[in-house]
Amino acid sequence: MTEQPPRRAARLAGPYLRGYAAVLFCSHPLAGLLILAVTFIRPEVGATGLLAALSARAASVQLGYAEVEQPPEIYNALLVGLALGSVWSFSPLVAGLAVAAGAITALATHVLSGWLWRLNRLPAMSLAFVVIAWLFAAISRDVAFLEPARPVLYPDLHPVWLSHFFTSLGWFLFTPHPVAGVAMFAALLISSRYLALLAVAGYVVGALTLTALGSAVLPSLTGFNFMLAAMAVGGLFAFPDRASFAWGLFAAVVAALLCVALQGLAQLGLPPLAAPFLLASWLVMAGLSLRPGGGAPFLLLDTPTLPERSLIAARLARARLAEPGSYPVNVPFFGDWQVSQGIDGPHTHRGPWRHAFDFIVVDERGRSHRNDGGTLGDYLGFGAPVLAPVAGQVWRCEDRLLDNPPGEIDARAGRNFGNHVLLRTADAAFVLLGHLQHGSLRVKAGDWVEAGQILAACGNSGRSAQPHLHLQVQAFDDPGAPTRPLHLRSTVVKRAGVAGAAFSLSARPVEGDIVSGALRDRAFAEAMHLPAGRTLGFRDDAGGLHTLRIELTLLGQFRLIGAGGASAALDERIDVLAFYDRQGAADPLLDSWLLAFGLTPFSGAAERWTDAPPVSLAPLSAAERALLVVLRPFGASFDSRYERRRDASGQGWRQTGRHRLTLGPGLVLDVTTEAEIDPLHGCRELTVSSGDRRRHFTLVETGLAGDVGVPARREAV
Amino acid sequence: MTVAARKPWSKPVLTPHRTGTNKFGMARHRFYRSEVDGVAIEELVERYGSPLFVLSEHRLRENVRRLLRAFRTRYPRVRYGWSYKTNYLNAVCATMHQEGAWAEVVSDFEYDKARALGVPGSRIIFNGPYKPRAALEKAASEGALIHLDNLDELFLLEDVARQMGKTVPCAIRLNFDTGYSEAWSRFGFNVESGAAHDAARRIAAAGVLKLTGLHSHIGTFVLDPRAYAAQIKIMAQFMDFAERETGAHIDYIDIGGGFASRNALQGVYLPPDQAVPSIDQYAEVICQAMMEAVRGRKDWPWLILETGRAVVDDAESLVSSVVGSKRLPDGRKSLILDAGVNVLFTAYWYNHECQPTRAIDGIPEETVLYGPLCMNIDVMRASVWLPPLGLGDRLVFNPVGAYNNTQWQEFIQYRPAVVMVHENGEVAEVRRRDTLETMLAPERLPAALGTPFPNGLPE
Repeated sequence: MTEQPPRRAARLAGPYLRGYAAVLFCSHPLAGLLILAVTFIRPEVGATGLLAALSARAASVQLGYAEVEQPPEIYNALLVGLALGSVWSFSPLVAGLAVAAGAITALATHVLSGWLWRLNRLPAMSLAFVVIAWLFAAISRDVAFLEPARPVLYPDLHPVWLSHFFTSLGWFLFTPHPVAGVAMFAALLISSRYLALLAVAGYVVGALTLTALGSAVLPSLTGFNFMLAAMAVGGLFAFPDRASFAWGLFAAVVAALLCVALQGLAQLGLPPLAAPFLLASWLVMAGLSLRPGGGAPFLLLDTPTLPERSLIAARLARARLAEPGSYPVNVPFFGDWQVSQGIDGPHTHRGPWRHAFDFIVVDERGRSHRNDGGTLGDYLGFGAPVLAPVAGQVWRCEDRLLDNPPGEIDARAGRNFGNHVLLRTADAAFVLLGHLQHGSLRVKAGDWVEAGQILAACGNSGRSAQPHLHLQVQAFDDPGAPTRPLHLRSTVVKRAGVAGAAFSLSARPVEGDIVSGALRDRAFAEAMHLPAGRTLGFRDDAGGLHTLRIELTLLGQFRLIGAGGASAALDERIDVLAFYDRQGAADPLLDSWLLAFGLTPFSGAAERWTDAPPVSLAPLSAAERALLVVLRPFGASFDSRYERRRDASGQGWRQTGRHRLTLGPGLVLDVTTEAEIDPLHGCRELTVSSGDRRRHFTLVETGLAGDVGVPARREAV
Repeated sequence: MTVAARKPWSKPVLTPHRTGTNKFGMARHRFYRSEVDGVAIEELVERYGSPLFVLSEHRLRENVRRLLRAFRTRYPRVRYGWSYKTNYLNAVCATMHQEGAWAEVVSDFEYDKARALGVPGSRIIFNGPYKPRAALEKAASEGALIHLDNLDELFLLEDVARQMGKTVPCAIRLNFDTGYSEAWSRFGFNVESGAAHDAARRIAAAGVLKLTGLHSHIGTFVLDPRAYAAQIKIMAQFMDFAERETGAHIDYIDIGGGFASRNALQGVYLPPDQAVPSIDQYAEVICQAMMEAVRGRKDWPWLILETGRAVVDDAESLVSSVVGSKRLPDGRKSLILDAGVNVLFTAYWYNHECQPTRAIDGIPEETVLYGPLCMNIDVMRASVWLPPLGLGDRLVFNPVGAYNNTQWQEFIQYRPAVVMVHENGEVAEVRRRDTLETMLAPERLPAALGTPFPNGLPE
């Protein structure tokens, strides 16, 4: 099969354009194109840069380095080439040096990025550029045939302070032309408004620092260092939030100070280049990553992401997951139990032991016992199985203590948790189940248990006045060890006065809540199953055919892909189907699907749940989109409330979503999704409505992609 | 020599020592019962007549909740099918459905009854050895769980599925010997002979049926819970076979019913307090067996319970009145009541507990209780110790909730009304007393027979 020439050109140019864009931490090819144009303001400079970039890429390919989206050697070599081209007047020798420098930079990029990562999990960024540029600065001092470039005078724009901002941006590409800076800033805006904001803020605090010092260092010359430091720390390598923004500005200040400190290097013929930015960023990143405690800012050192994307992911994570560091455990029982004391409970869950749950079984009137509750056997939970909340090893266990008669407490020292099992997980968390029934243990110390395995029965031993189950995660194995934050994963919670059972991937139920594990409804899970290779064909009301397919990527990620190539990652677990990481252009069917099914629990007991899908999935009018750009420049997510019911026949399901975003007083975006699911075909009908705009899709065919020896299948519905 | 005065001879008598406790020390907690959930029985009888069935909504709901709680805290996937044949009064079925019970029916009539109550076909378990073609067609199209009893039925369902052009899920009923109770080999496919295995293979081969469940019912009034553990073990082995050999996906294991209620079976020596296991005891053994059966499986099958008797029996009482008494030739006392085996069908095999509705002074004596039928077999209790009751006194029989409102007969007498005492204390008549009109409603008298005595009244 021959490739169409335009497509081939795009495929070949893609890595370069994205590599050019990476100079400013961007990835949009359009941004790369703008930066390419900027470098050609002085064509001989642009050409040297391009030569170095091409040479670096060729060297990397020759050496067999993996193809990545944004090859890091490209922007490093580009910068080295630009440096050469701006210092020396163009000649065959300079071109040759650029080619050599490109290849050397490629090597240096791969060597240094690996070395720095192993050293302290730090990103190398443009380190190779600085090192190789210095190398060539040293070399070229002794080369007789090089002719210095004629000095170029660049114009200033008005107002001057604004011109300095753009000039300093241009300096990063050795093109200190304010127009170059304007184009680069435009590239930044295309990619990320948040990074653009950080660039401006970083420049301002850096320039103010220099001014406050009365330093001779010109912000218009070195300012890109502050900007890049603010962007790297504040938006790219950390979840964008107030804390990371503040640390980004701090990094900009440090970069400004380093600009002053490293002035002396210039006298040695080694201009600081981007070194202040690198050192300042590494200092702050390493300092933050080595913190003993957690909390904001949350670093993304191994997965730097544009802040707008991080924000979408962060909002999804907030809606779906507990805060980082909270330990997930499974519900340790079968059936419905009530939380009799939650986290920060009024009785014993206080101080260092605040992260714990007590559970009892109650009847429909809230009583935990039959008859008069005079005997242990009257208590509904007494003797009920207790399950392992995690997989792990039985670290310690005890079941020789007698159960207390109802109302009595065994408060003797060392018997607080009564009969208990302490499990140690593979990641060294200790999970404790307390007050178990005398003689009910089914495991012994040293046993390895699976999550969900029956360990013992609920009892009334230790500091317990009625049969109940105590659950906590503790920091170490001492009986009095402080507890760690925990949450119940995949749980259905019923709360008095609230209609419907709420599903949550990470539940922190409170006192009085009725809790049960979210059990997978096999029929529903099978209806919604999306194996690799599955194709779905939907017809819209105008008769147009839209398709979705599932692919398994090389790295093992499942992606739901629309006809135009737009896609989203999907994670199908035993208890839930979840989508995230939407990429690519708009696609009505894909977007409708993601909005309707973004988070879909498989539990039959899940009647309602919440999620936070990005607003961009909704069919919005041009006016609404314009409003969003102004009022939510960094993107926004819906507050989405989902419900699922059986349809009237009891054989299918109807899943609805109400998605709202309040932009201001009286300004509310309100979108609803409705999906009908049948056990045989999965989603049959899909409707998204927003005001009078409505998208409606009907499933018309399903299929399975072929494999070697397995013909593809396609069935009309 | 003096002659010792001779004491007068008296006939030796053995008098049982009755202290109100039985030999296990269990005390009868009361000697009479004057109310149901706070509503005076006397008032009910005044309003609705005697005899009268009285249902307790509270007890009914408590019983089913207790059953489900006991099982669901021990095994996570438990469904409950309300066994219509146990008591298919609409009020009872509707209460059960409100508690989340599916409908378990055994005939086209029961199926239609469940549908009329608003139960969708997909929430009906269709059992029974005879399902007419029309009923199968309806059940298959509405998505009911169809439990096949024999090969002819299997072939019939295949035919129905072919005609409908769709794959119909079904289950097969198994019978086997658990070693605990007498095997009910007349229902379903036998496991030991391989008939059940053949049926599973046949279903797979037919292509239009899909085996999704297994059903068996090991008996009735099963007093040893270990019988169920044996049953589940055999069914789980069969499940493994069916999944391995026929590619089936078993979604549920239906263990039928058969839990005993707190009723005294005739011929059983121990009183029910001793003989009948608690729901928790059944749950413990059954769920333990299920947990062993599902070890290592990704999707655990549902456990379906169809136990009706243990849930409804003690939620209903029968109030009757003494309408006559006589001393039998052997010296025993007998009472004639206005309710007989025509309405209390289970009196054939239970010794129902019966209590007066007020405290009655006097020495209890052995009494025979007869019903109002002119049939020799109409005996409500062959022997019961009761204080002296007079005309118009009431006797309350309990537990009577299972099998009476479905098996009672339209024989000689008008069948009594059934009332339900709601949880809020209100009383609703849920079934009217028979009247001449209701008894005659189905009859058609040919016109030629319309006039009695066309030739004048006979002498």
